[in-house]
Amino acid sequence: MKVLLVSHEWEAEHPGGAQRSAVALADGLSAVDGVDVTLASAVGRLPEHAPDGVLGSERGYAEVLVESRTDSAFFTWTDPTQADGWARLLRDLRPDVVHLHHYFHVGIDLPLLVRRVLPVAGIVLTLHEYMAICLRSGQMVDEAGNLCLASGTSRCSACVSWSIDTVAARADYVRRGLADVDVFVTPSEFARRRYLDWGTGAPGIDDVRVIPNALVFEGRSDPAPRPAVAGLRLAFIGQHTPHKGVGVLLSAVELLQRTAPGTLDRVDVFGDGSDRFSPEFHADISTALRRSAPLVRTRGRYTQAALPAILDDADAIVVPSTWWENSPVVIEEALARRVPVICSDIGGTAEKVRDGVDGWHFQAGNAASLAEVIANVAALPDRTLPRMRRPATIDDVARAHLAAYGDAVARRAAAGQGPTA
Amino acid sequence: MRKERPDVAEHVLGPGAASSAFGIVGQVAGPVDTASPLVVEVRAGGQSVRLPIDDVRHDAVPEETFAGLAVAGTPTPAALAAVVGVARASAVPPAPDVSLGYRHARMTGNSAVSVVVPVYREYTYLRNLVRALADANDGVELTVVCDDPQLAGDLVAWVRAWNEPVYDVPMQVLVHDRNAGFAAACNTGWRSGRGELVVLLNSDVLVADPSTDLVRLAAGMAADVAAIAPVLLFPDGSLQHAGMAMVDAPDFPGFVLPGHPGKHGPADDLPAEIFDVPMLTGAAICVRRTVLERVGGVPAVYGRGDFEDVLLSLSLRDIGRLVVDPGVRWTHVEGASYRRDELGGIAVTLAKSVVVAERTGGRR
Repeated sequence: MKVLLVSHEWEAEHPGGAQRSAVALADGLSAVDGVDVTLASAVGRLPEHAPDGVLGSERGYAEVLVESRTDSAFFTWTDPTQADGWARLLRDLRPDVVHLHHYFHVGIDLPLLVRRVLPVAGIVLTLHEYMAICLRSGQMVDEAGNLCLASGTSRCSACVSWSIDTVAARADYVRRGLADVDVFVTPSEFARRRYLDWGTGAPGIDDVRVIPNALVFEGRSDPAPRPAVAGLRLAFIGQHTPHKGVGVLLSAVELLQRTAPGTLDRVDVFGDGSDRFSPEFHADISTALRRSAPLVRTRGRYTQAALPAILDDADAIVVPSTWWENSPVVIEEALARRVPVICSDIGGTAEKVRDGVDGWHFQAGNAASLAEVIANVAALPDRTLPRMRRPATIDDVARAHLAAYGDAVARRAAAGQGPTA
Repeated sequence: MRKERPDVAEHVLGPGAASSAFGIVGQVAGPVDTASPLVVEVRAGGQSVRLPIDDVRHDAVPEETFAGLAVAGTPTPAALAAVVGVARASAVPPAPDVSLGYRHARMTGNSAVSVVVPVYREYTYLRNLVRALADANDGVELTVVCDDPQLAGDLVAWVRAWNEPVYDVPMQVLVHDRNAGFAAACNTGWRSGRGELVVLLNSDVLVADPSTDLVRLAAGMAADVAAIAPVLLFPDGSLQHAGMAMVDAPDFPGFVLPGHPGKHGPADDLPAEIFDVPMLTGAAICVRRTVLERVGGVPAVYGRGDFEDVLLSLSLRDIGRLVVDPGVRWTHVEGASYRRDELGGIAVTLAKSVVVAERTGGRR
């Protein structure tokens, strides 16, 4: 089977969770006999060292870059000529299956283009978050920060101050683009249910499967050895954006410093701390980080290769997201490394981390609740979680995807647009 | 002096006018050309002025630039008949010259279904329609008629840039050299093809599922049916249109206006099966080409309003039933293109109701 995997951003440029899982899946698929994988990543501009978009094949499969950028509302290409790059790639490769990771930057019209160029190809799309559903960057959080599960033209129109006509037209356009997909994949039941609810009434948005994200990661069979230290060693690993909740963590740390000094040994904050998301938020967080030093250490960006050591050096990681999340890759990575997770009690994080089994929940957005949970964990005589979930192996994930690919091709055939045998 | 985008003015007088004043107010630019074939005559205070319709603009111009012509007092059909003046007798503007702005290679004009979309003032949601028709079955072709010379360049450039690389819809864009009105644009469109079924469609209608909806509407076109229409919904899901009927205007005795039964109500209360209605809207209507040929196309009543729809419906009713299929539900996002000045809109609506009543002999 020939598979074209499409990542919405080039992992080497933007190593986010969705990008990393696309790369990991390519790795996993390439190890399966009879599967021929090409990984195509959308980029804003082709790099000088690869003017034709063709990269080396260091990973054992072909990697290409395609210039492709979309707006963040309709997800249409910023320039219609970007369709030509995708069309050329499809004609050259002629894959049996096109697996898109995301519609943002990839283009909501790419499934249509695949239909036009390769009517027999199955189309699979991994839903990494909720941009199609929610006009607030897919966060499903209103302007005041309240979590939102509803979506509808009137409500969304009021939330973002768009005309109800534009909201309706956008939903129409996006749903129609998604309807060309044969099989959807998403890594959490929470996201699956949200998309099914949102897509109700739209043809084609029915087969949504939960398959965990693939991890290129060395797991462990046992909990990492922990040197004896007086306090708890925590790590935050993620982008410094408002909805990732780093501010909640820092507030909780300040509270603990006042009320229960000695609870923490240190808190390492990793990830993109640039101001590209929100200058005001960046300024606030920078101030809070300085205030909490040296207990809190700002560690900056990290490489994937360094992640096992980072996790091994923590007693728990904290995922304090104030939005629903889907399936944060860092949770899977932590569990694979047998490191418990302290996380918000909502959406995808709560689903992926069972309270008291894989880690501990606190009330989302509530720094006092997080501080209380941290103090409780620090006071545990034994922090071992023997029934902690083991993330799916890359082989498991690859085979689950191959089953989805087979069904997507069969669905095409049943629709009369693909091979019948 | 001819304006590029004429339209019927729909404003009441500014401050100082009596609250009960109604009228058609025109922006007068230069000497009045009474030789124009379409003239609105306005009387007020014993004065009478004739305005070429081409100089009566609807655009948002400052209040003080209006000439300030109106009819004072409570309007009656007789008074408004005088206001409308010779316009009722010469309601059809000159035919425009039509040029081909764009044509896709697979646009044959011989498809089974011709979707005809007049465009005026904006085409914000045309992208949704073109994308929808990319999912339609073979045998469906789209003709966009640009009835707005100011818009033609951008519209044609957009279609050229996007259709072939992305949507690949068999379509063409025809361009009027002057604004000739909704009816003229529809007639240009359907007469350019030969498909048996013609779908007249506003560009801001979101077609739900063209691959099945158009087949279903065609199937509902029984031998005794002259036209069939989908249900149109507002974006909030409430009912916008499931047939029209002429009704007595509750606030204006003597006037009969097109009404939309159930408007803004729940759409779930409709009959389950195809049902008959007295009239249909031109926003989304399916008609056989042979029927359109028999009735001479869409009749023109210059300016906006539902009256062209009324006249078309009456013509079609002479040939067969008018029906709505409640199983086909499309959304009409008309807010962006429908900027009615509430009071001015009433004045024009009442005036045109007189015109239509005369032309229909009072039929409902």
